Amino acid sequence: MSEYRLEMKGIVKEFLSMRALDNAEFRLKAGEVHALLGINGAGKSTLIKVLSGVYIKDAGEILIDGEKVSINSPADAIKAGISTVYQDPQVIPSFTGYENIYLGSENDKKNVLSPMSRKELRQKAIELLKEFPLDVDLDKPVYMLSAIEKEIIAVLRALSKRTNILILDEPTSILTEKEKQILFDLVRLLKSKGVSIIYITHHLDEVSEICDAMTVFRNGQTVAQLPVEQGKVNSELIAELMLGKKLVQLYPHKAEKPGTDVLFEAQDLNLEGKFEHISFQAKKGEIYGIFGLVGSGIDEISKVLFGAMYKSSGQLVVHGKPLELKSTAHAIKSGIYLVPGDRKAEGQIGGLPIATNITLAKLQRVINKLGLVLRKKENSYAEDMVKQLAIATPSIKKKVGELSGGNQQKVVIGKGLFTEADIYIFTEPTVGVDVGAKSGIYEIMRQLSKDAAVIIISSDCEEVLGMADRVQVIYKGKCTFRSAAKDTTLSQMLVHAVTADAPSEQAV
Amino acid sequence: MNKKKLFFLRPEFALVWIVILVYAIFSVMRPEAFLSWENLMEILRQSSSTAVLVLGVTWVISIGEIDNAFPDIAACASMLTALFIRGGMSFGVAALAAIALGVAFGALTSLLVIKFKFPSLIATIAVSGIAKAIACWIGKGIPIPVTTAGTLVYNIVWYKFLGIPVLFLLALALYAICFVVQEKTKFGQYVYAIGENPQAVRETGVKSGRIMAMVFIVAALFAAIGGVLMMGIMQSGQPKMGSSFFLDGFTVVFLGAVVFKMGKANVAGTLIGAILLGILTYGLTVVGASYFMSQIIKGTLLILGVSVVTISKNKQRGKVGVLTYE
Amino acid sequence: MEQAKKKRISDEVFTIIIFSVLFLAVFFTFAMLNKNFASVINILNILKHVSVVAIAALGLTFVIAVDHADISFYMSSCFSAMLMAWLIAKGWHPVVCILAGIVAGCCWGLVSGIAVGKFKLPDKISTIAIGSIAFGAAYLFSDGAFIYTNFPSSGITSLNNARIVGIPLPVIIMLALYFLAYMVLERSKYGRQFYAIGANRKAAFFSGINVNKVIVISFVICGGMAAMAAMITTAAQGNGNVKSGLTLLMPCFSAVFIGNAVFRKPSVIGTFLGAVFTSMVQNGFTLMSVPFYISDLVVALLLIVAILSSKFELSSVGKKSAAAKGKAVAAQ
Repeated sequence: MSEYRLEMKGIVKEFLSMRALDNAEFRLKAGEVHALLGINGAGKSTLIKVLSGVYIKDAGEILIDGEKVSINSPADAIKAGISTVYQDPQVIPSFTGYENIYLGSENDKKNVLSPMSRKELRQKAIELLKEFPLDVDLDKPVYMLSAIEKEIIAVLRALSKRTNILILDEPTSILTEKEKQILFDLVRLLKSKGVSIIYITHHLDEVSEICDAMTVFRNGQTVAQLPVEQGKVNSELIAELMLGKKLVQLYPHKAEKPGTDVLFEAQDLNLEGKFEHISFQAKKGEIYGIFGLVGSGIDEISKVLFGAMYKSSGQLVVHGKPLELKSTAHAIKSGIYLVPGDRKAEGQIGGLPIATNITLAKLQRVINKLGLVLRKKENSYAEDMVKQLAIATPSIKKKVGELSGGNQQKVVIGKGLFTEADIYIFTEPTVGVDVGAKSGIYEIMRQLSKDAAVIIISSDCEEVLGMADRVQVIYKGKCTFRSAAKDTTLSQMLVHAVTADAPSEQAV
Repeated sequence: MNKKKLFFLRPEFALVWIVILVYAIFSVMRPEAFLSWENLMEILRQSSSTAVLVLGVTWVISIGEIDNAFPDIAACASMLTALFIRGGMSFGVAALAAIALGVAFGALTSLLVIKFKFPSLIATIAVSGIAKAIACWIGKGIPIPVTTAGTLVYNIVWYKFLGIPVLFLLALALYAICFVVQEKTKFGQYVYAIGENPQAVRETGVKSGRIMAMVFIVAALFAAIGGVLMMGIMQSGQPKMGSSFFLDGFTVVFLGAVVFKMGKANVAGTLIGAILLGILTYGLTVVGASYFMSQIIKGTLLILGVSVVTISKNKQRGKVGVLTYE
Repeated sequence: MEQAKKKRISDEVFTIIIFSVLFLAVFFTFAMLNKNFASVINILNILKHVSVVAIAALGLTFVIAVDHADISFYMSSCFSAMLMAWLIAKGWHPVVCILAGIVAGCCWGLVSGIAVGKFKLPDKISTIAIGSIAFGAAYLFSDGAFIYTNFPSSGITSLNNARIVGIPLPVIIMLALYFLAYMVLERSKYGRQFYAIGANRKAAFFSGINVNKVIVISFVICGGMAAMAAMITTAAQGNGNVKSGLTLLMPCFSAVFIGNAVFRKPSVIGTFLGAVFTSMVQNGFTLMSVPFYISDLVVALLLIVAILSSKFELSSVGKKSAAAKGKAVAAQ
């Protein structure tokens, strides 16, 4: 019998030419709650997907209880006793809790016309609940349940199968403080029953509260594996581990003097259930940064600023005048442009050529009086934009979907530049962008900020601090920290993004 | 528990009350044509063939797809039955052959939708074109009258058992089977799961493609059975009867989606929908309403059904964080 | 990377080549089987015959371009036809009648558009309902009977019979509408918006396009074009027929989707070729006195083959394993 329930050795996973996992190591003991830490893109979710059979590893081996196993599909993972509860668990909204728990395993028969008994399922679910006493109404359709109850249903679904290793992927991102405690009780209970838990999180306070050990990832590699002593997590040290000491000169110089005119101001913006009391000023000549973890409400903030989502209350002031945004068209007309967070779904039209994408948001500039697009004019504008942004493409006729991530993002930015806006909001501007293109995009943003107000909203702490002149940090929809960037350290930002009650150093 | 006692007052049962209400209104208007056991049974008998025809379409709607082919598959089945009977075959054999052809159409639809990823609208438009063409081909474009169908079909269509039309009992039996399949088997469970969240179903390892294929085949199967019954009722194969079932079919299914399972097409609801439509059709004929009136009433009912379904779905999804154009 | 790009382009070209070969093959087969087929008169005849379907399909192209479906247009065209015929019977000037019919068609399209674009009702089912109401309303004018009154004297039939430099007027109307549609859909600002919405609705929204409005407009165009198709049918038949539009559903969808398959997007030229192709097949069979149902069958099969051919990939054998691998991962 091995000391470890699970060992992953020398795991390699490549996407195109990028190494998402580079000789990653991971060890998990029986009955242990093990935190997996790392910034976005560090490789933790890739590791989990390899373990749960969603991705097939390129190299390395996985051992369970000292024996080598091959996991090539989700079914293999389940057979090996590994269950995953994803960040946003997939459920059937109108089905009851117990129906969702046993979806796909209603009975043991292969024939889909074989009878199933809901009574029996309910009974089985009640038995399961006896084993794991949790407060959840299994008879209600799950759309009526709260976030934690859905989470519990998803955990129970995992537990209804023979599970030795349970993966919880950022389980608390949508939970309230009280709900979090319910989840932690469950985790402790599972632990006492000998289930090993891999706990992925950004929240260091959670690590100190329930985890026994942690592994920190950076750039696809395991950088540290440490035990956790209750209540004693050195957040400064961990932040350093997560970020590394690299900080090469990826970012352009900061603004030399503070910004001048306030072009854009948010006053006490609220969106029920997503964020509250968000206020800031964006000035011409500088970059304003908003940092928060995925799910902290930053994506919704960016959409409200662009009129793509209705706010519950609050006020936007644009060019000194209050502005009630009615639509995205209205926002663009008012000189605001958003580079949306989800590039593939919201930013680019992958099936259309570069030129068409670039001119799309302000076609008025390339049409004649009859509304016909002047192709020569359009093409020359597009050529200029491609040159200006250094988009690597053989032709402006190439479909955007066929470009690399960095170049796709540049097209989306080019679409914004073409609108000649003077307020630019960049949400997650470098997700899925390789390092070379990253610095190019940063340079563009800095250039833009000379004549416009630029706002960067991102879950990449380094990026926000590296780019912005002033920053604020969002934790669960609320601002927890604001300061001038030059007076702020990375770990300071990170700490405020993961806890509400970090030691407060007051600043600007 | 309290809820259970008053189940018939729950909003899911509103349509049942509407059916009773509509019947009552017609009874007051024309008591001589409504207020008797015979009349009621006649209405049920007339509703039966439509009910069977659209039975399978119910599940196609449940999984979130569409089937445009069912009326023409029915027409094709009615023509083939008529042709074979005229050719000297017994009703049973002819009917089986026609039903087999219907299943083949369903298999073709499944192949196009699941294997070749056609949108179900286009696949079923193409299949309905083929079915309609074959239906016309069989009779060179004109109906085939059948006078020698034999006693079996006569009994199915006209005989009454304990005062209840056999045709209605047959429809009831088919509905009962499907109801059990829908409510008591994994198949039924997956049909609704696919309709709500196909990704969740795939994640659990269920072969959702196979379920969808079965749904399209079952829809074609019942369309063919319905076509065979129509042949019996009209005593002829009708190559162009399809168009009259197009609106009726969807109206029935979407009205049915308003009962029992709030917002989801289900077989029990479809039966109620078919009966409501039967009462309306019969009643509007009795009071002498124009085609125009009945078409508008059906169309309006369909829109109402769809609206209720959409609203109840949006309700489940919630409103926070929705983009302004949605 | 470079190789993959080359392959994709040739896949697209390949589909167009297959279609062209098929088109020419069908044309020459008919020409050989029937010496009248390739005559100028018959080709004009084909074009005249195709004009009704082609115009209605053109409207449908706009709806398909925004990635919706309209199943009301062929029923609302019946209403427009009857409205025109009824007004003609009342003695109105044909131009007024036609305009009224087209406005009515646009109105039905507007209703569908609002239901789908504004209220987000499912497109197929709600347009079936709205179309059926329109079809029912078409019975208002004569309770379903044909309307002949005033037809010969009103001059509406000249819409069908007139020729300009030897080309039948319906063909000219069709070509004019196609030219207009081409300018709008392929050349204008609005066309960009249609395609952007069809390709990625959300991204179009984030580009400041009023998505809902454009969707409504697409349905209005579809309704209006269906009314124009009804106008030509009415003029050609010399009467108001309540069922005149009912045969439009399949050929129109076939035309749009054959075009969609060949050019890999719903396009004006694609729809035109699709319509001409199906019409040519029907005409060819008619000349050979093959009954209508055979040609209907062939049209349905053509639709399937056209879409299948667009799914076919060159060197699919080599790609298959890679694609299967990708699928296995994507399916999760």
